[in-house]
Amino acid sequence: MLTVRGLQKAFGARRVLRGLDLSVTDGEVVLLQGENGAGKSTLLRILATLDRADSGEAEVDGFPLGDGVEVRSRIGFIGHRPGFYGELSGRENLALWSRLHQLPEHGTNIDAILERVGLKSFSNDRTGIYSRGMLQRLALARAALHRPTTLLLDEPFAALDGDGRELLRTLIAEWRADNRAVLVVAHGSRLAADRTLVLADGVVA
Amino acid sequence: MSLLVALVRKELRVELRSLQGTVAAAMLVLALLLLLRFTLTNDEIAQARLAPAILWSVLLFAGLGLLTHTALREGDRGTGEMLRLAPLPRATLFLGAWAGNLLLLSGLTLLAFGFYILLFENSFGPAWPSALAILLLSAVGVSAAGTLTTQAAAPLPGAWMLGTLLAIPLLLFTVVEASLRAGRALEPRSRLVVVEQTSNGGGGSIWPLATLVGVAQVARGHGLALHMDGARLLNAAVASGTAACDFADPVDSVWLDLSKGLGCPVGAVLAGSDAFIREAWRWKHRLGGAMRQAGILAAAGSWALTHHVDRLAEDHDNARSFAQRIGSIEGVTILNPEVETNLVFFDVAGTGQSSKDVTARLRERGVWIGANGPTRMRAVTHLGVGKPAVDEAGELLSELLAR
Repeated sequence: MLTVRGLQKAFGARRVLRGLDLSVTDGEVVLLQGENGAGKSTLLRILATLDRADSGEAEVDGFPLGDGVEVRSRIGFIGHRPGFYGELSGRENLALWSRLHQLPEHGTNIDAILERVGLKSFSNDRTGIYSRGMLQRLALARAALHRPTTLLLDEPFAALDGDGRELLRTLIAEWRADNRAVLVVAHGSRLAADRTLVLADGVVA
Repeated sequence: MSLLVALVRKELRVELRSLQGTVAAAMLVLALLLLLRFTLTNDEIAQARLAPAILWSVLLFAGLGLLTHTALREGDRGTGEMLRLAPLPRATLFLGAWAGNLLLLSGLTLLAFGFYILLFENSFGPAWPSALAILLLSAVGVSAAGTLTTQAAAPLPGAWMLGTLLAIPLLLFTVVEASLRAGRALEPRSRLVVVEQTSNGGGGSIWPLATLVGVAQVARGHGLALHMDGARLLNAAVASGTAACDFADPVDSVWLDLSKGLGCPVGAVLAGSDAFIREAWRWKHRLGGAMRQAGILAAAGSWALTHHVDRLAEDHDNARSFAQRIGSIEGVTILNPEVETNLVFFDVAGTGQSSKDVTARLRERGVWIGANGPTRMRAVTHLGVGKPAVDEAGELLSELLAR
């Protein structure tokens, strides 16, 4: 579950978030939309503890963002950059992620999730040769690997082909059924969300 | 611990598979060492004390460049951000980066040391394992400071150089400490033992011939040459009854002052083997020591050696007489009561006066006795000061120090 109260963030003189309130309950998919530069990505980065808000509060499953380790263990995040080591294979990149989350028996789980995102036959190839769409599929696998309770997905449909888009919609539906909170930033995704919110002038309209 | 292992393994795998940072750093090390090899002369290279300076400067620049590369790589690819999304304390991430950098830097150090031995020969001698161990230990500090500053600088403009520049002040303590330790382990090999005859600091005392022969044996046993600073060798010869040539026999070279007790205004003699003296002439000229019409000075020296040697005994008698006189002054302690030759060391602490003041007041009255400590003084008798003058100096001192 995700709750945000009075979140503010400015970059120099430009105020991006102006006391934003938001909540996503367990088992809910919220689609967040807004014009370019509205602050959608900034909000997701703050919730993922990658950036700090100037003021306001936010909690993930009751843990404030200041409790970074607890919050990060509950979050699955897809951002603008895939963030994979090109010298490592897809499997090795996920194995590293699994170890950083101290997941047990990571091997089996990794194989299963690689198969799920359609990368099993590429799992031993270095990610340096992956296409952008393949990297996005791998990012999906990474976001789901540690079974987070809250998913923050910033333009997750980007670069995905038709199958990939369909896969993502299915995954989101499964997460919803699995009682997880999902906050998605996307344009024209034809995503079946429980709520669609629009971010404008630094607040949710 | 397993988290650290995972982070370090990742760092090594990424670097070993791409070799981007290590190859560039290794090439920089090689280029810098080659540059220094052709810049320095063979004589300079033979000085072991230059070795730490060469290795330090090369490793600091190449090593910090390597660490900057690893930090920037994480930033450019967004992998650093991915690591920050993991549920780890930031300190663990830093430790992981530091440990990975430490291993990379240790590898670079081994490589640089190998290059150094190849290009500069082994100026460390048998101490090379200690030298290598010190360098590897210092990599701990370099990688810690380097990781801290390069990660802090990575998001900033000019990060490529900024991280390195920021790290250098942080590393000063590490470098200075390690250099001091290196100095102990890598100090230049001793080549020469010098014996001062007579010993100034020892109160003009004489090295007995038997002791001198013993010192010579030990020196030879360690492959060391033996030189006698015999500025007052003839004082020793006259006082002990041992011929100067006997004192000179165990040593390889001797220096003898014609001034001091012998009374010449200037001049000294260096004696040794033919080859040694030929080399000494070369060095004298090389250091600007060419001198025209020096025969005039040599004549004075020749006169002194003929006429002023035996009379050194008078100086010794005068010194003993002076010591006896001033030893009776209340508050004055004679530091070398045996007065073997022409030096009298005494302490005026008991008089409540400082040696500096006493020296100044003596000088006003025409007597020069040096201060060589806050309350320590040294009187020297010589050709220019006869018995009456020595007695007068003793009386004057007694008068000045009287309470």
